[in-house]
Amino acid sequence: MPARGFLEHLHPPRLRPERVRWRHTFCLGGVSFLLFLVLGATGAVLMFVYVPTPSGAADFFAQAGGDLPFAWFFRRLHYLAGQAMVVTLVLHLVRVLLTGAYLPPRAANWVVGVMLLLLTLAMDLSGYVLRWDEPTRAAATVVGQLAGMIPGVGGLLKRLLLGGEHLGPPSLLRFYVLHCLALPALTFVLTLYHFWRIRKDAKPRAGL
Amino acid sequence: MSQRRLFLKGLILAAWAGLVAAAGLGVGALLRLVGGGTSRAAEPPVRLGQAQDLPLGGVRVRGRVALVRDQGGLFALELVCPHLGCRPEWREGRFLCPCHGSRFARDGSLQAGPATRGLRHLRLQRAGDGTLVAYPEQPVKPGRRLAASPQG
Repeated sequence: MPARGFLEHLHPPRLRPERVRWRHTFCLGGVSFLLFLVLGATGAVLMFVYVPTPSGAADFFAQAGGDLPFAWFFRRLHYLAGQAMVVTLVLHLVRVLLTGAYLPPRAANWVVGVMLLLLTLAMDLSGYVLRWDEPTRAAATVVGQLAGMIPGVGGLLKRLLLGGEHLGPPSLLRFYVLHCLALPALTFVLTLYHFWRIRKDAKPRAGL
Repeated sequence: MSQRRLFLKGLILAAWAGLVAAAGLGVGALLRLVGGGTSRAAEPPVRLGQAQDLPLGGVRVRGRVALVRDQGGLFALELVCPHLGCRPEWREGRFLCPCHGSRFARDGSLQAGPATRGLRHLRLQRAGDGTLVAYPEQPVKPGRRLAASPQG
């Protein structure tokens, strides 16, 4: 039975059954990953029609119903999945706290998980900036100024984020690259490591 | 034998050093390119229209600059919040920053935080045809005023 084999692959004998039971995990991490895949798919579709320039962004949001059939659908789906992913990740974090899964020997994976949450929030924010209207430009300005306050590397970090001393069209392009390429790639690699560590940190049971 | 081993070790070390140097150069080039280099385009002066169209106590906003007229005369404020760089809006008799709620009086002085100082005043000049021009990269002391009418 291929289906059963797949399920056994998801929950290998190495993991204790009571730790992977639905009522123990609520599959919140899995749901988050599923939402990440949805975001990747819908985001890839949106990349065909969204142009990361101020006028391109304005055009995209102005004609999302007309010249771009179903753009609203993919944008809505992308938006809702993004919001939902933050919620499920926070719930996952609460679950891990309540069940004590952050304790050694699984402490390293907790740290990886927190990094994944931060990456997700960064993707959330950079995606928000792609709307490029007054509130989102203000958000990007604040991010750039905050980065600039870091002693030592702040100036460089600010110029990397904004593409100059002030917010402008180069800033939009930078947030776009971060949102569509750099952050998702990093998140994906770290996610695979997160999954691998679950198995690695599980104690081998008798008979294995 | 040991001579040759030493030589090979040195060769490998040199190869590693070369690799690290190449990677460092590559990262440096990347930071230089994506960081926007060091060139800084000067911000163009902002034209603020004629003075006689602005009543006493009036505020005229053009982009990142506000032209204000009070008893003493005219002055220009840079609409960049000293807190985190958002653009304060002229609303109900004061400049209100939409990001974190800093408030500034008509003369740009700080009313409420989280900003820790007032708005910057910019150099304001009257062009030949009477148009007022502000210079975004030339701050001046608060308190400076330009006469509201050319002859005064």
